[in-house]
Amino acid sequence: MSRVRRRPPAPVVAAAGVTILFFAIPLVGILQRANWSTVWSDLTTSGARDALRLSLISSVLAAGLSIAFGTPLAWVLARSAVPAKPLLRGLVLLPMVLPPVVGGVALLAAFSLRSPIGGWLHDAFGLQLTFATSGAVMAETFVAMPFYVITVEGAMRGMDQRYEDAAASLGARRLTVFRRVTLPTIAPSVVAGGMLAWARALGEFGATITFAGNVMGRTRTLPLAVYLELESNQDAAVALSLVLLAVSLLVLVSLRGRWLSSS
Amino acid sequence: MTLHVDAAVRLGDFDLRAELVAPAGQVTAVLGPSGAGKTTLLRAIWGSVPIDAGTIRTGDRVLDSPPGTFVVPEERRVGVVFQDYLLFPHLTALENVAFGPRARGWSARDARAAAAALLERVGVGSQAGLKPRSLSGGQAQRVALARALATEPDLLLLDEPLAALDVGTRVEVRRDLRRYLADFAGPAILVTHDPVDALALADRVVIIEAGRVTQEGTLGDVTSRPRTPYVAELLGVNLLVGSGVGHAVELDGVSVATAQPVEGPTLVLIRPSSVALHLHQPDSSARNQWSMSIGELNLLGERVRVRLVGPFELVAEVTPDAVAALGLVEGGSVWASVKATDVTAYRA
Amino acid sequence: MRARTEPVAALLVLVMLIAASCSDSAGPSSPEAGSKGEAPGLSGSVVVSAAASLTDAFADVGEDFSEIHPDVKVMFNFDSSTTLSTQILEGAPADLFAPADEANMRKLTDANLISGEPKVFTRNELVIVTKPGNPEGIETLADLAGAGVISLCGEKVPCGKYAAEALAKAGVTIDESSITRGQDVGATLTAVTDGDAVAGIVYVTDAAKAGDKVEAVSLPEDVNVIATYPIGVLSGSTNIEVARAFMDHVLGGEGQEVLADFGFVPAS
Repeated sequence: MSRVRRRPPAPVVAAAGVTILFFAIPLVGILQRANWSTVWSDLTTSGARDALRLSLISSVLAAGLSIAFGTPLAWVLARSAVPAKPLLRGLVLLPMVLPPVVGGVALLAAFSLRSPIGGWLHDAFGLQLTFATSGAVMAETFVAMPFYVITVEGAMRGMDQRYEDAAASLGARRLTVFRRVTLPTIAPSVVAGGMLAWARALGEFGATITFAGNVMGRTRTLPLAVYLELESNQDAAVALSLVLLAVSLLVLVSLRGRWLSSS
Repeated sequence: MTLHVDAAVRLGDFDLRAELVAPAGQVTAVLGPSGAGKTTLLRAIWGSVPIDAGTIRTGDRVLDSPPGTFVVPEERRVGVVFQDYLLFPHLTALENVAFGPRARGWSARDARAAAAALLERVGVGSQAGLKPRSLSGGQAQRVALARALATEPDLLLLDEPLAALDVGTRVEVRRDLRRYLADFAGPAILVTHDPVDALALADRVVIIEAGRVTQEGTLGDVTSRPRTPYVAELLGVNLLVGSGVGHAVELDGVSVATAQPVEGPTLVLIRPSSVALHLHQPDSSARNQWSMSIGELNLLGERVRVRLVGPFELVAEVTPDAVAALGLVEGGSVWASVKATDVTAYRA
Repeated sequence: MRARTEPVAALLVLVMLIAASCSDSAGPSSPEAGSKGEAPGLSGSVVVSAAASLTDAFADVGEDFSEIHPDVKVMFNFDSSTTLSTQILEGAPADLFAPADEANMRKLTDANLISGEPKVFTRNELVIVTKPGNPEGIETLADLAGAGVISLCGEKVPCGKYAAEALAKAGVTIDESSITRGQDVGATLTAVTDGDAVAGIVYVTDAAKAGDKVEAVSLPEDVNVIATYPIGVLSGSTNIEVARAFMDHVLGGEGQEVLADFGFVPAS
């Protein structure tokens, strides 16, 4: 009788419980460290407000760029027979496993004023990415976009491609098929991937501080502010951390593991 | 215009070589056991699978002829009703039907108007605003048909259009489908494994077995002269293979008397209803008399099918009353007789 | 046999967790297993938490010390002095503390975490660093304002405080939106050497370390700030003997010589 649902063996449950504690205890730690009487005032100092505002703008832009440029890439990876696809995919996903600082160093090497590209951008268009919000957005996009691409590519692979065939038989060209059939079908994953990329961009630290620097109001995002406040005002650092934590947790819980349900 | 297919397709281990002609204004049923290559044939026609050799053309328009020509699916003007319909789940019935016209550049208003009219015509006008998941099987089938017709295709393909329906709905949808297919001017190809669909809907039948066309012709041709055991089984008739010598066909050590003279390799068709059963050797005029044992009894509605085992296998169909009167039981012995005039013999 | 593997795995996880938490309380200063207990010299290991600006000099000092005391292992934890003092206040294990200012040392003496009196063992000066060749032509602190993005240490980190002092002395204000702040002096320097910062204010010793990747512009004495580096043994040290020996070595002739080699100014 299937009245009783089969559960994993007790030792496995116990081990899983220990693992959950491993993740939960640091959270409890930061919560009990918070100085709740000053949280509000710590979050409303001009420095904190600047960091919050900047983080919001740059992470939304990074998520937007991830969607705009990541979607075509996911399409190519999922549907076309490009050569050396594993290599290509590895390249795109590299920022997920690379220490972000390394990503920052690489961006610096490629786009600093003294690099060929960065120098040209500056001479030709007066564009400087380092120490500019655009640089922070770029660093965040670099680190966050892989999360979007992997989610959407998985969804495209996982979807029933016969719907695309059906659309083609009705006379729809490939771009129309993509826009009117593929995209609506994988819309939940586009949203999930976008939110995941956004959450990752919001938490980005290493690549941003290395590439874009730590300039108040321009590149000092929340995580950078947290790091700097650790030196002076720990209560403020904890308060800012709480904001990051709450937002990230909210995003991940609301996604309910949707980026996993692809293939 | 007529559809001409002469195509070879290799898909992994599977190999399809099919030649068929589907005239305009007629429904051609492609009948065959599962895995015979019916769906692959359809896919080759609408372009989701390129053929490896041969030609597919509608009238003079070549759709696929390697290595030179391959028309992409979106330009073939072939309407397809897919096996599980594949209605776009995020669009309403109306939007599904309007999709094709829109993709072909109609204005939104024209496309919607045409779609609404089509839905009305196939009897699901009041479901226009529903998403596919809210439609019943029969309604979804009608929407799928309307969607395929909405692009005004040169050619209509239906892949097992009734397979997903329950028995009650199937009868009704089949009746209506017959009407819509009659209105369609181009060639229509209906893939099915159910002979009833073919009988009810098709003018012509193409039998495909293991990737090869084994028989092709009008419905009458095929039912009166089945050529393979598969077709014979579909029709529920006895088909024997032998060699004609005068007014008899020699099987393995047994001969079957015929009314017409026959020569050479011959197929022998005996309808189960023509087989009479007796407890003792009959002294009737029937020239074909064999002593056989009863392998199996099956009640089919008003009739009982009796599978006989003897010099060869034979199926007889008798009334339940006869079974009782003769006291037929599985394993028992019985005499079977067939009049020579009831034996149809034709060249293999 | 098969049935046992699961509990074993669970146990293993538990053991690992417990082991990880124990090693905290045991501290890194517990004597090295297998060290020659009968040797008359010092043995064991000590952790020195030192200002980032001391990184290269202390690495050499530590090597010399280990040569004299082969059974002693010296481990360093380099970061901004503020981060280090915070860590120690939070209970991080260390045996010696050598920050780049006295304020951070005071935090620990106030908390009674220092055993005995800390001593100033060296000093350092500030310097402006620019790109090689000084393309912006920076000669004084006043030139920094409006020159582009300037790299400074975090405001609460010693090198940041010293820089603020120097700028205040010179009466120069740099707009905060033209300042990128490094978490320690190393990061501050990197923003000039590898990044696009036009100039930065770091210690003389760091400028020397960067070699020809930067050009140093010294500050006139009246605006320069002298950083003083105190060192003290932590009262929580489990190897006070070795810790004191290391402190003496730093203050002694050999240690002072090494520091001087790296551009530090003698304590007195």
